[in-house]
Amino acid sequence: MTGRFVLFVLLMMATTPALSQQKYWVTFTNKPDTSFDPPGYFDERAIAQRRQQQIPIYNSCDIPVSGSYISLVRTIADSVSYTSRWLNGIAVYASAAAVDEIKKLSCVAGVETMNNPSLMLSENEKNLFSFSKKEEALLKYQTDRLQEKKFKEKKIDGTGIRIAVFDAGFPGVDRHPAFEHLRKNKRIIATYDFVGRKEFVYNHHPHGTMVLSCIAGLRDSVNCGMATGAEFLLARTEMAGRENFSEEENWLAAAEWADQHGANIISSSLGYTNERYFNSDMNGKTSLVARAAAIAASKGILVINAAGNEGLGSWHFVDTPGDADSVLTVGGTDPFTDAHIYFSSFGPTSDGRMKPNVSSPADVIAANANGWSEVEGTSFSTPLVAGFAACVWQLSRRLTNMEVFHEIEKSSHLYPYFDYAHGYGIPQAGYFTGEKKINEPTFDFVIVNNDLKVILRERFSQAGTEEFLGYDTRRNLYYRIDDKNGVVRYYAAELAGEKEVLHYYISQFKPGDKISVSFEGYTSSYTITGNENPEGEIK
Amino acid sequence: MREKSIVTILFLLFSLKTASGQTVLLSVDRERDSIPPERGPNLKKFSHLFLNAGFVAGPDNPGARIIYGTSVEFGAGARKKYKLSPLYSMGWEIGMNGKIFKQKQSEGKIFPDTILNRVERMEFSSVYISFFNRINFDVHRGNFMGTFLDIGIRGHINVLVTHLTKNDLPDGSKITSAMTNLPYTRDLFSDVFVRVGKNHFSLYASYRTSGMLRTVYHYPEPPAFTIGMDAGVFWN
Repeated sequence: MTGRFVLFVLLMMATTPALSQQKYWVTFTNKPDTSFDPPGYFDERAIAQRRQQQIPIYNSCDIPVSGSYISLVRTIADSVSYTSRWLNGIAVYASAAAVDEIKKLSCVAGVETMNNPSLMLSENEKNLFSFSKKEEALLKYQTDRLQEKKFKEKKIDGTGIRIAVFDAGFPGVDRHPAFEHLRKNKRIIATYDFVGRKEFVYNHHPHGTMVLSCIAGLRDSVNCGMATGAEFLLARTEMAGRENFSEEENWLAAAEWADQHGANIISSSLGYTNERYFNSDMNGKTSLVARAAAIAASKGILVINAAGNEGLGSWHFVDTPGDADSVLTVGGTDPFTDAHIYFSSFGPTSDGRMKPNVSSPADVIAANANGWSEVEGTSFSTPLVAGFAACVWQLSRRLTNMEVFHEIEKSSHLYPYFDYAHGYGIPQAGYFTGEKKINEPTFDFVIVNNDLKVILRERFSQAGTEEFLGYDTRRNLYYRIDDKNGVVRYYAAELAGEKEVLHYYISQFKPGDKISVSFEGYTSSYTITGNENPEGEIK
Repeated sequence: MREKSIVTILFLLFSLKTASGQTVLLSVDRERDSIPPERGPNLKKFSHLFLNAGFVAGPDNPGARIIYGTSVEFGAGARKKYKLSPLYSMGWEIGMNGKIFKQKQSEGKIFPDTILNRVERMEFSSVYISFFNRINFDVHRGNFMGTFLDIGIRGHINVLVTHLTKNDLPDGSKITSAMTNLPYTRDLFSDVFVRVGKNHFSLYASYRTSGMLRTVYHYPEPPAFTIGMDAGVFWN
């Protein structure tokens, strides 16, 4: 008897996974028998945004999915959980046998398996019961580093810009003093919980609360983020912890919802990595969210996503949708060094594109459900840049989303230098408020006796006066070595401590190798010719 | 060969720079950084440690009845897996296994003797090597273990077999005896197993395909089935 029982258990164990139901993404070939009324569907702001950016008010991807196709698939699948206009598809729960049947339908273009839990991109959290000098300084630093003051002087605070925040829940946003100004001025325009299918989002995981505070939170009179005047759409797309099926689909649904409600910016501190994908899939084309993000960008929305916190992990590289070409991907910096923070994911994408695009502080003070926390993660770098972007767009409303994207890159403190840890560096408000970037050379390349040296100019060889809690953060030297084909071989950041900041044997470079250096806002490069003058030459 | 070239590249890069008084905040060697990883839960190779524990599931034999629930097994070891396709991997393990058969003290007991004790158990400690086939059900997953079915075979070598008894003497004292070097146990035995799991955890069932006792003694064999849980120790 016991033997039969064990055999039964064995059989059940062996067959259960094979019989289990899976979620699939079914796409259709076309959209017949549908009608679409753009003014009835879109918020006025969505139409205005399209007009302003000279984008057609709608195209085929805004038209609803064919009802007859949905009905047809519904007769075979067990249930339909979501319909996407943008991707002309539906998410269904079905058995493997049902999927085989669905694949045979002439209206079906393809079927993909969905099984992709996501990560919320926060690392460490420390609840604060009172603020120490360090925490007060961090709070001030997180906006100061992006030169918030320059926007403030011009009374720029993101007014008129609508930001959609996708996250795992927003508990406390409906009562926390950090968001009182948003509630009082009715600037939370719409909310939707795509996990629970309801409007109420002020519960579940406080990650979204912390993220929102880094865009628009206020602690007394100190801004936690730069867009305290912006409007918000809050979407819960994530289930805290790990959930097997829906987050990417929810992200897509929320993006369509945000577009319908006239979002100018999507701020997403979420990422999808090794649960479904390999590094080689991070090409901006493979994942559902990368495709969704690209469509959102084509609708005139500036999509800002976290690079990820996988810098130390086996994944190591940026996550998706941060891999998408038209997503402004934000890496993290350490406030105490002003350079890459240890966990921030690295670029490039698997097809060799530069990521992250920009960086910002990833150790911040944020409002949580009931109080305040010091938190780490590129989750919080992202909303800081989203708030910055809202200010940029308020200042230059005629720019398109991709113009804002590129202008933010250009404003960053390392531009035109870049590397795969910092992108172009930390965006600077001064670029947009008319502050001229002083392009005075700060160093020289010097070749002496077959050595290549980088020597700081006298005026810049002294220790800086600006520091953050005892760290001299503004004297970082960034350098990169590219081969003759422009492929980055090596990059580094160092705290400059001596006048002679770099010293290499030139004979060990190959002709065509290029060393690019950025220091104190000045970038220059030297290409190895193979005929360097050994007697000494200043370049 | 590739690892050797990585070391060479690293050496060159570090020796390339002759002097620096700076504090290094970041240093990324793209030659090394861009080599696609081969090792991972869903990459070409993957190794990890594991722990498992289970219960003897029966059926037991007349003359060697056991107490279910307290007759258990424990194991630990290292597992290596080679991915041959998204659907199929094969692997091997080396491990230690301990089985404890707690024997019922009832009339008719003949193994290993007819004496009824307060407590009596047979403890088999073995080392083993196993080979398994793995079928993955979520072929579209990324670099994580996913949902799998393993079917494998193990060959054990007993390193220590103990017959342990505990009794109370008439004067109230307690006596425990442990006998080793037992003549009636075999040095080698084998079993087959099935494991169904997701990511770190799996449920397993094993069936011993050979006896643990020498046939010349005509002892009833301990139960052949065990069921239990296995936990892989790894990140991801």
